[in-house]
Amino acid sequence: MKIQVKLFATLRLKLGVAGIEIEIDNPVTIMELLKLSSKKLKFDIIPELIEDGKIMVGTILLINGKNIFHAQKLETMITRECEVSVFPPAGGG
Amino acid sequence: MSYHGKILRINLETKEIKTEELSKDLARMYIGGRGMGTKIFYDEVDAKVDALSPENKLIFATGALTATTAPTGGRYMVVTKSPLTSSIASSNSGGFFGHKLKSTGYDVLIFEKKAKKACYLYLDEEKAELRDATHLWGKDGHETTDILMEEVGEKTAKVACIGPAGENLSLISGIMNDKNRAAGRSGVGAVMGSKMLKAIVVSGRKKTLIDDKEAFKTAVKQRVKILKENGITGQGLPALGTKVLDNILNSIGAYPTRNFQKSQFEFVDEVSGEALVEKGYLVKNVACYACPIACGRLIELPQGKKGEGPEYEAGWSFGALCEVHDLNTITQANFLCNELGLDSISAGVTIATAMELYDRGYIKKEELEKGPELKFGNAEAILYYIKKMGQNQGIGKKLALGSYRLAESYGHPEYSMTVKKMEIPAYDPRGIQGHGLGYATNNRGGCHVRCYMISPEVLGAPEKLDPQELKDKPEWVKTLQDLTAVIDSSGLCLFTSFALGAPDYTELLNKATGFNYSVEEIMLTGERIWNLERQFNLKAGLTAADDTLPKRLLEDPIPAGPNKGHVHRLGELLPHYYEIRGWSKDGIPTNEKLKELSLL
Repeated sequence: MKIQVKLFATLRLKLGVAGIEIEIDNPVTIMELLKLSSKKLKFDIIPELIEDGKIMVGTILLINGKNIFHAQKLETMITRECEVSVFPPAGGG
Repeated sequence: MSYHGKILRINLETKEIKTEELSKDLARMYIGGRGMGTKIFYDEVDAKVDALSPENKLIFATGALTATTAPTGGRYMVVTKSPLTSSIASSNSGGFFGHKLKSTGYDVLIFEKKAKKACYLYLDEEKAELRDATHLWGKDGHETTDILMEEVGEKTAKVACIGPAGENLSLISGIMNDKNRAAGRSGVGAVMGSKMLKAIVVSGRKKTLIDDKEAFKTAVKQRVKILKENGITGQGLPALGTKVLDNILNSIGAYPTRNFQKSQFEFVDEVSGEALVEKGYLVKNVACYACPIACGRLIELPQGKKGEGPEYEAGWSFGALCEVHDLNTITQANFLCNELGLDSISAGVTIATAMELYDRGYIKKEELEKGPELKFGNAEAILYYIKKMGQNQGIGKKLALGSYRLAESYGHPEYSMTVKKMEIPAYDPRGIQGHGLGYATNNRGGCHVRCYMISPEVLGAPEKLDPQELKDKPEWVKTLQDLTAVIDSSGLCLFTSFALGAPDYTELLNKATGFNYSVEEIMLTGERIWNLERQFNLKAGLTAADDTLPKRLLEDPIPAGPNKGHVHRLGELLPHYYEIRGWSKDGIPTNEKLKELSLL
């Protein structure tokens, strides 16, 4: 199945990429998806989002617009085709 | 002690200007800025006053930490009665004007009555003079600032002024300082216009005295470090400014679109903060006085026009809310608002309201007098009607009164997305329940900066809350409202609160003022300020019925996206909010609560 990974904010500016597609055969956790994304991007995005195994304050990870923080956090499973939005710590207005 | 201990009272009618002593007790009880300004206003002005009459007063109040080295310590607050909401108005601004205002040696300015002809106040450490401004009347804020800077001949002077919108008594006009910074909300520009006061020029070098200089220096250093190391204030905001939020709010389905008929905008990628950088419009970041964050944007458009902004709110109000996806036009719209002295949130929401009224056939084509059609998505209409609004011409006369009065004039106030007649900013409460409670109970109406629940409910700071969960939300809203009153009274920027908390503000205030507040006392002070504003509003005639949201947000579910099917559940939140506030079921502070807060 195909997962659309969309990158935002400083990640988008740094990498010059708005998004990538990751193809998976079996369900993966969001953490695994971030690792697969890093591999494809040839850039480790995990330190930008996660510190000591925890989602950094301000980092937002969404599956179809729903924040994984209110599911199983980094262990949240991706079981079907979806859009994953990745925001490093951002800000307010 | 970080106050000069002086108030300047200016009677615009008699031209009498006198200096009064600022009481230490007042400073301790209300900190400064919003708190102190509100207390002075509450004691001196009848809440039933017509906001545009000479009997209304206009107060400029600096904070206890304004003009210190505390991070972001450069802000001032305008306090008056709002002609838009009839509630208390307090409108806050950054830039460098607040710093210079306090450097004149005065903490607070109080303007009374109405000048016989257009004037401006010149103020420095030695003199305070009301000078003729008839040559400035009709000029926009940028021209006014340039002329005044040349006239006073002091490079370090700073100017706050109104544009044509304030002169024309537009109820959504603001006061501009440093050209592009705005005390934008609540229609404070119209109050200044009604007094025939075009501008204030400040120049001074008087240092703010600090109670414990060394300890303050250390406390400041530690907080600057925290702000720089925080992901939001150290990375996100500097890199992308406030417009980093476009994609966030759109992705979670709480990005109001088409006058709140939808909550996602299909063209967000063309108007986002990322686009502003990618299109090459961003020249550099701009910082206010003593700010380590620097979220401001200096922008140059391909056609050569330079200016500041748009911020998230203005980019949204002229963008998604009007379904316009031309970032160049949106940016020009923001520039125009700065020049004309219009509140860019209220102006955009009002145009979106007009577009819905046009779409539904209530505004007729003939009324547009051959102007561009008020269709959603029509970029040309945005610039055209902002000008009409600012200059008070044609249908612009109706638009200049704001969204509520516009919709009401066609018999359909339900299409106005306002709270207490002030336009709601860029977060759909149906997708963020606590934030909606914040809107509904806000003392100045539809506003996001008196209780920024986006921080916990969306961004996860200081901790992540589920935006659809109701539990504990009234408690969070109360805490943030009280804490924000403290920050606003200190003269610091709300953005520091992404990284700092009540103990940080308490320490900074203690070292600067020597008051030795406890954290509990500081929070109680914030609560006192909130309740005093509430008391003013109740005296002005507002009731619990005004603590509400537009019918659309309470009854019409979001049609699609991650928040599909949700409405705002205000009825489940409000009674508990009143209860924990110590207010009656009718939203009236009990005598017991007022005594606890030393308000009775």
